Amino acid sequence: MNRVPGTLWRSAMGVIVIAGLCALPSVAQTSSNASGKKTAAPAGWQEKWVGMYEGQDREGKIAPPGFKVLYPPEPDTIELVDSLLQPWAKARGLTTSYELEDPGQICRPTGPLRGNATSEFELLASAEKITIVGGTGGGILTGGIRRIYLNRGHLKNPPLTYYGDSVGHWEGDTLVIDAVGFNEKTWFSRDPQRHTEALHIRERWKFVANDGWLEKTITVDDRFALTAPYTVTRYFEKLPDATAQPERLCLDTPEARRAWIKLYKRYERDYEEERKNMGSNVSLTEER
Amino acid sequence: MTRNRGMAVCAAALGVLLVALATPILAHHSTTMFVNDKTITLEGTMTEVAFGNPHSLFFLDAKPVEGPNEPMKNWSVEAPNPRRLTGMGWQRDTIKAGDKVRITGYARKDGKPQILFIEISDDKGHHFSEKRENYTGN
Amino acid sequence: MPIRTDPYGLLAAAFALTFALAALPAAAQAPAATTTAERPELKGPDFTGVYQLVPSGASLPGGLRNQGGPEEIPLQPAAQATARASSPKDDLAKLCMPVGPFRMMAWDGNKMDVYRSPGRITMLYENYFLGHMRTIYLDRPHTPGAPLWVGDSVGRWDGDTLVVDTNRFNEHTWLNSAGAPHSEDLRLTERYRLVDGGKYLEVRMTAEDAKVLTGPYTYTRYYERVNTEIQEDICNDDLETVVE
Repeated sequence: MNRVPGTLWRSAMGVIVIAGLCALPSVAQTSSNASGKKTAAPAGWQEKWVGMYEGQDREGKIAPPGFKVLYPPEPDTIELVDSLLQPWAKARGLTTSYELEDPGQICRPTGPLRGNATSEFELLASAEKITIVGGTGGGILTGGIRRIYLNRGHLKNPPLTYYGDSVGHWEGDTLVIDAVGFNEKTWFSRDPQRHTEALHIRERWKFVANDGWLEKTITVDDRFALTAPYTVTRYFEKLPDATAQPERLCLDTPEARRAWIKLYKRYERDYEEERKNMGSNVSLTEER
Repeated sequence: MTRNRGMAVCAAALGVLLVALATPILAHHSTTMFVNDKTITLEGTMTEVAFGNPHSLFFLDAKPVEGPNEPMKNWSVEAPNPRRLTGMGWQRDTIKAGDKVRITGYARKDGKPQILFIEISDDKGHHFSEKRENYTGN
Repeated sequence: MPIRTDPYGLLAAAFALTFALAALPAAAQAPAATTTAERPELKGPDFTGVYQLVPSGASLPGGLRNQGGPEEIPLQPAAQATARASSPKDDLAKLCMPVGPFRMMAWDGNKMDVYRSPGRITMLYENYFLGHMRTIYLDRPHTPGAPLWVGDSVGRWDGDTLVVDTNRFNEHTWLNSAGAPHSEDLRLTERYRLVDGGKYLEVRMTAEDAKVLTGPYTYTRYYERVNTEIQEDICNDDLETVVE
């Protein structure tokens, strides 16, 4: 058997190096659950994970020492997503009515991809699930609650929801999360960048920096809306246990709630008017 | 459209990463339905004042000062949250429905009767304004 | 024959080493607090789980049944008049705003999950918009602050029973669907305990408001511990007609 030629070997090494470079931004990200080795939950995980967290980009906070934020939060995520949107998805964004379709306008949930890095969140847990209130998981303001089930895989026919069907398993000290089953009411960002029901979010959460920070590596994919998946890494500092969970409500006064709903209905009526006017210009009798 | 996985995606993602890191973080209100280079000043009467998080909302029967022949319409004004407003000195009952006001704000791209609040004055000597460059929207 | 040392090979090896180092577990932290002084949530039974309100009229083992309810609350005459003057269309539940714990814990079909964390017990409601989130801080006093929709809750264990004291309510919520008002003096005392071998959670809810009620009023509700999951329930997906 001939020895592999030197040039071919160097090319192969070059490929490995570039592949390594590509893997570096999303360190342990693998392409699916199946490729990682499932393990039992780490002993005492609830005590370690449960609690209050505060995202990077608070004043003075960037990332834990020695860790690099790979993608800044919005609006640079907006630019990134814009570069990946398929043409029809871009077109759909242009015809999206902000007033009627931005879920945040009247306090519908804004979904798992907004309010990312800057949000606080709380992790709660039972043996069966880990629940995230706020943060990546949407904002507390708008009912951003995701329950990540540790005791099962995906439902066969999950109802399509704002926050999807999230399941998780352990790979050593890393929590690996997979989420599908999203409705189309939420956006990639606070701009009308639309995703489809094929939205697929994979996350790997683990503690870094002496267990003081939670690192989330989040891969977002949508085979119908994006030309390629993208990955972001976020850091959240674990806060002292006594940190309060303040009450936070979207449109938290009756007058504000009523006023914004009134505005919503005004836009709804305008929209219906416009549609009717367009319809009346269409002549059905001129078919040839 | 076929999607390339593997090498080409990696290279593209890496390329985008380099571009993203090189781009300064934008601090202004993201591209929504308001423009940031055209303002409208309205004169009229408040019909509704609603403080709330994350955005307050006002309604007024008004017309633009630059269009005195335009019909009176009920305009809406998207405004900051209560903490920012009280920070300007504007308490919930400082300006009420029925008060005569003059409000300036950014216009909408589509021309609908709504503005994004910049400043307000009434006929009682109140004047409050928002530092627009700090407004990041929601 | 061995492959001679090769720069690409070295680089690849360097990457491999970096990955290996990155995979090493982080340095151990100080062990988590485990005394009940530091972890008051451990002083009583574990209520963690999902619960479904038992319909009124159903009879549980031992003759336990739901008793009373928000509609029976004894209002002073002025408060009765306020309630009579209100209209169902003004019910903030129609705007998907929180109804407050007094109404929520008796809300037909209520489903909630309960968690415990260091120093607190948390309740989330399937109808998140109406029930919102309640954080019950253990073994500590009330904190001052702005009035809240769900109030400020502090709790302590009394044997097997969790006793929760809630105050600092805003005045927006009704005490029942008929428009019963309350003042900012409203105070709720709740007593939670597991009964029938842990199958049910008993809630005894007492309201006190000297400005509005003729005296303290208590209702009892039973929640069955269930294995079903909390579903997403987005109240303002379907907006009711709002009168302008």
